[in-house]
Amino acid sequence: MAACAVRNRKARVNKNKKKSWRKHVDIKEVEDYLEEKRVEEKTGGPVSEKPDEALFYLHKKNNPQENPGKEKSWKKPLRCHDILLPNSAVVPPIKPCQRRFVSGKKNRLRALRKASNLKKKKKYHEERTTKEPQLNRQVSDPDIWKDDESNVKEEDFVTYYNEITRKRTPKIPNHHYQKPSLLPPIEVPHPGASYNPAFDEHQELLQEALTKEMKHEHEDKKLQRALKVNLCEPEFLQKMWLSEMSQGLDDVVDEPEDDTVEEQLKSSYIRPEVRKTKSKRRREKERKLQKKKSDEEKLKRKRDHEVYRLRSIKRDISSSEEMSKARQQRKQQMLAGKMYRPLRLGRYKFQEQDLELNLTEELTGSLRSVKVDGNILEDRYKSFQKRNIIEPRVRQKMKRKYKLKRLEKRSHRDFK
Amino acid sequence: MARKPKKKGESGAATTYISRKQALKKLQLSLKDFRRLCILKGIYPVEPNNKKAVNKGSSVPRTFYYLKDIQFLAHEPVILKFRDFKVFIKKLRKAIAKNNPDTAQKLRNNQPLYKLDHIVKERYPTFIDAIRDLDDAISMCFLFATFPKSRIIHAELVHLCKRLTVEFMHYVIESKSLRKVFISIKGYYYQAEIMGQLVTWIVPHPLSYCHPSDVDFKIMITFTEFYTTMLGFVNFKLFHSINLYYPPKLQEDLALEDDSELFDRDDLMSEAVAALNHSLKSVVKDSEEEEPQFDEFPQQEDQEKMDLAQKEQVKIQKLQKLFKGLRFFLNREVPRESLVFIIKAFDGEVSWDKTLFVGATYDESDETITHQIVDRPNVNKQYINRYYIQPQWVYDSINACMLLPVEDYFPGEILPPHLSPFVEEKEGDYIPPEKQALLDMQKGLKKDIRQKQVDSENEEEKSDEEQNSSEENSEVDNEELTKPGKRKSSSVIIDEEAEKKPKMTVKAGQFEPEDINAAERQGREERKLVEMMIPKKKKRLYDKIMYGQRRKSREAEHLKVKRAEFDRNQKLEKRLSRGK
Repeated sequence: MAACAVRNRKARVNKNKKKSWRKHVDIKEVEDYLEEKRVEEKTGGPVSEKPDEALFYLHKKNNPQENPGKEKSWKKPLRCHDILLPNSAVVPPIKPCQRRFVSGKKNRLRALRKASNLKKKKKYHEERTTKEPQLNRQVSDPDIWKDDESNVKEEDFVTYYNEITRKRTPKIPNHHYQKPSLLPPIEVPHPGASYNPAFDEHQELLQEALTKEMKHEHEDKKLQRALKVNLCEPEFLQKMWLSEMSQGLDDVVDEPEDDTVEEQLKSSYIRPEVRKTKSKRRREKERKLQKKKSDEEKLKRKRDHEVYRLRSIKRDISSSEEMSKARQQRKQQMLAGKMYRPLRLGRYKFQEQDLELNLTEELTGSLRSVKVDGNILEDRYKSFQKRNIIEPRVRQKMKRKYKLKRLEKRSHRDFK
Repeated sequence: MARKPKKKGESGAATTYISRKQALKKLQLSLKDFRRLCILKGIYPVEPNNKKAVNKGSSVPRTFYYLKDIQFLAHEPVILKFRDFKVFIKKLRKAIAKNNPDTAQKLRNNQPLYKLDHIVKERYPTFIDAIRDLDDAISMCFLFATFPKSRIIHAELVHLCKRLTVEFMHYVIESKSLRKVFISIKGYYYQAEIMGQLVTWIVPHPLSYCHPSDVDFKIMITFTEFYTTMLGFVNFKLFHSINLYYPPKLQEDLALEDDSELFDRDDLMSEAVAALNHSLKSVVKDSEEEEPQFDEFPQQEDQEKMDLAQKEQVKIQKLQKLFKGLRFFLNREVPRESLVFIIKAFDGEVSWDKTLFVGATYDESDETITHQIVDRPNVNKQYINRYYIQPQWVYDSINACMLLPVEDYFPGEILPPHLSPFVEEKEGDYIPPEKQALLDMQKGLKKDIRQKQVDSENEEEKSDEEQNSSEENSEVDNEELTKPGKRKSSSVIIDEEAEKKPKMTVKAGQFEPEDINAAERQGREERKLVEMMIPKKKKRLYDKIMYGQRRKSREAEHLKVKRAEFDRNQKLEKRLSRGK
């Protein structure tokens, strides 16, 4: 019973009786809430229904009158900086920052330099901001050929000065003023290429195109004929197979006998021991001298007798001159012809473009329904190549160093 | 003193040429920049005579340049601009990659650009040099003016080209220098005479753009850049030579219609200039145009040449006023720009529908219009006092230097062929009958092609005898024509034949052959005697020349026969169709 008493510190209260209502129930919270409500009613309504102006006010101006004491305090120097101030009241006789012996001129120069620096900086900044990229470039002097009429020759030193200061280009090589080709830039079209051509001229043009096509065909056929191999015949195939299979078999050669080899070897290595005697040498020398003498005489005789050969000599000379002249002319013509044909300027040869023409069926008599053939851009491009201004170019295909590997994703491969 | 031994590959051809790779290394440029520089400066690759010596023994085809050219290139200040551009690209790329749009925009605003003015002056030291190279420049500018803008071709370039070509056309109109026009299937060919030089150029048909696959666009754009610069200077000089303001200003200020808020005044003025229909303002006020008189030089050799020159001058003056007093109206379906250009160039007045383009001066309903150019087969003709013609009439009239009869060019008619004015036939060459008729017309005969055709048809229908006689006539004359070497006499015969054609009676046919034959025979005999006197050495050459001439005349004969057959077939077909 004592344990029960200890455990049950709190006495069991019966809340049903009036007595416990007064004594043992805590109504603090309710009372607080009610108190709050009463206060709200006293102050003019619940807070949530009050307007913003009743609850808040904007603090706009910094009212110095609010805290007059605080303002002064932050303007004062800090106490920790007091150590830096002089601690004696004695005034120093010389101010430490002032320089000695300052002249007015230097001051003036310095001022000028500063001013010019400023100007340069300003100019630099101006240039940078006012630069405008524009394609219709405005030139200072749009008439660049004005000097043609004046015909004033510059003096030597002026040209030298211009060259040194790079105001004038260096001497232009003479071949710059020669055209690379004498072909006309715009070639006059064949009269059959008119949009409404005359019958004869149109026929001529068609004939030209036909001859070109026939030439191409002829070349193709020639190639085909040259490369024609009858691979279908079995005999031919047999022969080829036989020749291919017996490639390495023909190298077998009969071995020669050993004796002959040895003898040959011997004869090639062994030198006969022969010595010339003195008399022999002497005789050889004499013979040599004689020979030389007789040769000289022969030559002299020939020379003397050449007088009688004058006419034939003249003929020879004139013929060789003619030949050389002819060769020179041919060379000149070749060089002149260079100006009228497309040269081989690079890796690729010049490919002529096809003739532009309209077949008879495509000819309509009216300008409105004309069938246009031939692209002018392509024509201009080819014309530049023909006139040796640019070298013929071919569009490069992309070359891969290593072959592309194509793999299937495992998930895709195993998909069923 | 002993000379140092000469080594191979140290002098001569091996050192005058340099390969492209070596040049790139020497100039420290990329291939793209090098090509651009070569095109701008006018440095062309060369083919050396002895390729093996230059190539150090190998025969691999390489591109070679003169070493002097490359050394000259090294002094060009544009190379520095190329290098600046490379640096700029690097910076720009970095700014974009690091997501700095402000830096990128600043860099783009200060992009380094190069100017080509000094290069133009260098390549063309005098003005006439530039005029000689004008063909290429103008054709490229006309071509690029028709291109659409793309990633490679900037819109500014296209607009610049359009503006320059319009200015050039204005100059040609004001100076009346256009001489020949030709429409081919590739485009319109024009030829003008500027400062004594003949300039030929081609303009594409006004159709949509088709992109060719094997043309290097970067190269063409570099060419165009240089040509636009050059053309700008040339235009300036040309305009000043005829006392016009450059950039062109209109003589009368245009009245702004409707809203002026919708478009700029500048745009309107530039569009009006592009319309080519208004005259330009001149620097010199109150200039009365006097016809330049031909100078009379006393005691000059070659009186014939002077006479010829005078005749040429008169002819050209007549040509320049070809369309004077005529008023044209262009329908919607005809090529407006080309027609406006050529009509204005020959003193005509022209207009078009107001809704097509700016600059139309009068309406379709104007009473004073003399010719209306249509291209449709059937026109609901509304006005009586004007001719309705197809556009080929204008071009053919210009080439023939006279106003051709309008009847051949009515809408719906089969047009006569459009002949090329660039063909100059020498005597003895085959002249197609249409061209012959044109020449006859020019000489002043009143007959035209159609009339001749009608005549011949009438002859056939009426009497065969007359036709036979006329055929005999023509056959005999043909024989005379094909005799070689009688230039003067054959020209006389042509004239006689032309004059006698109207009188096609049996009597005339009987008389003529005998008269001509006697004189002819004597002439021939004399000629044979002279021929016998030629020494043997020169006779071979003479024979060769004669052979060539005879071959030509034989070919001309052959073509004539072909043409006669064709005509006969045509007539047969016509007969049959009519018979049906």
